[in-house]
Amino acid sequence: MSRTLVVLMVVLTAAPRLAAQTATDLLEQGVRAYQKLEYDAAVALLRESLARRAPTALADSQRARALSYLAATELFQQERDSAAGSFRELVRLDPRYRPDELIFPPQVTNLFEEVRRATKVLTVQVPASMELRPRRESFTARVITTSVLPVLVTLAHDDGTPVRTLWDGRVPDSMIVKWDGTTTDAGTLPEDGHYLLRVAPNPATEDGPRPLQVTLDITQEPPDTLSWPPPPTAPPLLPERTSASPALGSLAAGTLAGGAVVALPALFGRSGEATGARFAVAATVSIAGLVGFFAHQPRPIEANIRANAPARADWQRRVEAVKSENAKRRGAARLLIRAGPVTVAERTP
Amino acid sequence: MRALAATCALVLAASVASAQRRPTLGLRADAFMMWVHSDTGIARTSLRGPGFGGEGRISVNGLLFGLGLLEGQLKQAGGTGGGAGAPQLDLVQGTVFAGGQLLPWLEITAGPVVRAYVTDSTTERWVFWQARARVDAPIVVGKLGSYFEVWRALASDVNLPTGAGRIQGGEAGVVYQPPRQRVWLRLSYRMDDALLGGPGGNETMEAITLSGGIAIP
Repeated sequence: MSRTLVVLMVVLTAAPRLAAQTATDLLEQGVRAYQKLEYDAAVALLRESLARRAPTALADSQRARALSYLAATELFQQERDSAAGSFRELVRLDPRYRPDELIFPPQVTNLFEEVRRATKVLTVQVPASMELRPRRESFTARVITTSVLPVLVTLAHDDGTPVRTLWDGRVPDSMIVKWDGTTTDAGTLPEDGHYLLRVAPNPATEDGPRPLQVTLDITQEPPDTLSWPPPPTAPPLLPERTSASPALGSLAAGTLAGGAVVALPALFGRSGEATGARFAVAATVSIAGLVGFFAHQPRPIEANIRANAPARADWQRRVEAVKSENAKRRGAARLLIRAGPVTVAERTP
Repeated sequence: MRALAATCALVLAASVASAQRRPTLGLRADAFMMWVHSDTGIARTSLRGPGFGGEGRISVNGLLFGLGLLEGQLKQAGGTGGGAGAPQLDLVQGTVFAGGQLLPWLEITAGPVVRAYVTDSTTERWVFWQARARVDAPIVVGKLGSYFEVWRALASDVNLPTGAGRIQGGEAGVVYQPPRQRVWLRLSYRMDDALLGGPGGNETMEAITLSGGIAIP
């Protein structure tokens, strides 16, 4: 009764001043009250500091410190359940946090360990953004549990379609789960888009931790590849086939001359009358043109082909070198991964 | 005559443009079948018959000089009116020419031509100055070629009362030269049309010619 009265008096007398102080100030005052063994005042101040909301709320590290002192104070006030509740909140806030054993006596740290083991907490930490060279480097996610917990870590498309299972096993305290940036064992790179990193207890239980997920925005940054060397041209290459122009020229010469034979009477005769014998000559001339056409069909020039072979082989070697270099560069494509906040996912049936 | 002067000027230009080369001698022998159609306005006759001829030419520094001769025996091939009883006649033609090769494919020549149709009793004689242009187009270089030649009389005369009109003609054919040989063969067709003066009439000569020649460097 008297303690309640004291707390009430502290709150009432300090209320106007408390409202003007920051959460950090309240925390420091609460810690000093704890150190002076003024537990009632300490509880009031620490609770007030924890109750502050943004923008004057405590940072997570300060919040963990406040919860530590609050739980210890409550324990020394013989309010073990309240102390356990504060520690439970502390474990959920930061599963990796441990009260300083130089500050707090064993009875406090022992209670914390007891609460930590009894509180099933699962969390995941990922870098906010990173660039990754697939197969050579890994994207890392730190999975943290407060006790040994079977966990399934998967990468999925944003519609839930599984892509890869990254871990399926027990996590004792914390562990690093790595992803090498590929979506298949063959080393396929992911297409650009949104993916989900899902961290869930396996199997899921009603009273167990909720599954978590992180949205990963993955962008592939293609490497710069070399262009192929220009193929050798003529010159300096020698022509490797004869031209088609002489064939057409021969056909034209024969055709025109044959036509001239037929047309001569019309061109130079007064009446245009003439014997039909000229058609035999016209046919012969035209056939000669056809012979020339076929004789001049483009053909390979073996000597020039042989002379050009070293230049072509050199070009082929340079092409192969560029292909090899480009294959290396394509293998060195980079993934840009931006992680969103960790959110609670829906339980999967 | 102005045209003749222009032709000579072209030939001279060709000779100036040509480089110094060794003289080349060319000889040619012709065998032909000839048709002569004569239309005097009163009578129209057609004669035909074989003939033979030849030509020699020398080329020096792009200039050409040459002479040719042909002779044929023509017989009645059919006709109308008074031509039905026309006698056999001989054709004799002599040519002298000079010219030049303006371009590798273009040859220009000019010179007098004397042509005579001889019967037992009369001789019809044509004398004219003729300019000729010849274009060569190879079909297979060094083996097969075609050519086209045209000519026109710059001045003409005939011993007929009607006098002579314009004379023009052309020739086209194919030339075959065996590989690595200096001889060649030629098949050609020619048409020559000579107008008579006055009220009209003409004499047209056609010939299919098979020629053989040799070039002597």
